[in-house]
Amino acid sequence: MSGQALKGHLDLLLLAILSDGAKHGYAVIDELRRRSDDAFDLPEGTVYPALHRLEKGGLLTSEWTVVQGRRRRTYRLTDQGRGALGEQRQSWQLFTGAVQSVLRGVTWPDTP
Amino acid sequence: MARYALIDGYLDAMRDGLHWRRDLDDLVSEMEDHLYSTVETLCATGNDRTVAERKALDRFGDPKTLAAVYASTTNGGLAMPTQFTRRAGTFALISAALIAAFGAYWIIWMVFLDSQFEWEGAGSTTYTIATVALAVAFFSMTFATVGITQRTGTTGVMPIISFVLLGLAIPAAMVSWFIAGWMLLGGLGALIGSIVLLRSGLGNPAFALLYGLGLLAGLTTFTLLTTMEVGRVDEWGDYPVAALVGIGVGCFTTAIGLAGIGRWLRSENPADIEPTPIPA
Repeated sequence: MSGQALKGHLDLLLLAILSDGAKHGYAVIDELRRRSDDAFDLPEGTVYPALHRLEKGGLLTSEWTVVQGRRRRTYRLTDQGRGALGEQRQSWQLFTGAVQSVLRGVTWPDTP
Repeated sequence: MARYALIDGYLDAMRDGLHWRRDLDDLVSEMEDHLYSTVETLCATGNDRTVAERKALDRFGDPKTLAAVYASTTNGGLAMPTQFTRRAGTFALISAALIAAFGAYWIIWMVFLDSQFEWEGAGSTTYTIATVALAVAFFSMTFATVGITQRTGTTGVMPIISFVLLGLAIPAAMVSWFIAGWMLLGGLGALIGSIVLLRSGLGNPAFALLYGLGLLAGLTTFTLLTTMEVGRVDEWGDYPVAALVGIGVGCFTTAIGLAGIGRWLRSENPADIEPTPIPA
């Protein structure tokens, strides 16, 4: 699946991955790949600007540590981020529910 | 810590490509950690070191693609100038020069020529040229506003209002003696444009403030001095000192702000992310 398909949804996925606990960028991307079973063909480097944007928006915080002589930035969900995740998750479920209803030819929300 | 030649070369290239970011060291450190972690994982699963480096870089992304992504500010604007924003910057500089020239003309006229001014001949011609210059200044300012909008990634109604007000200031400037008209319309347009700029956190806020407040400060000065009846009254019942000081303050302050904004629109000055402190 093209990374383009992720456009607009990447924030939700990143927030969902970080809802399990703080992670550094590599771990976030690794988890994204594992959970999606490598479905998204996304240049890994493009995930970092999204993490920075979420941090700037107050949905994540980050802190630096030094691991094996390298500086490592770890991201953590804020309360605001947790709230945003709940809202975005609900919107996504409404959206996908409606799309599935259309595809199945039944009236939403009376899906079987 | 082991070093990886291919990755280090890639990081050097990224460092060059992102030299305009204030948080450059943080960005490169984060990329380094990611790429080294990838190589370590790949080597642990039996990959040759050089192959692992190539795979890690391939997965991380084409440097040109990444540079384009990093050239976007966190609110969707352009941290780097484009051909359009450079052009908009040129228009801002033109506008600054014209509005300053108009202010200078007005002062010279008020101080030296007012008593000898005649509508026939040279007096009329220079007044017409100055008036057209003011109108062109507002015309150029509308282009600068589009550049500000693009560079800051601002959408919504504010840039449109700024654009419309500056557009209305163009015909208002054609009756340049009606100071309250062009100064109010242009001043409000510039104020909204400067708020867009200030809210984005990009550029130099001092220039944005000068641009946003210049014409309105000039209009306020003009109104106050007129109300206080400062100086002599001319044959039309106006107070030349009020016009002189008001236009001087308005035009020169706005010109300085616009020149700063124009330089920024043309420059590679970024970036909206502050560096993160290095842990102790």
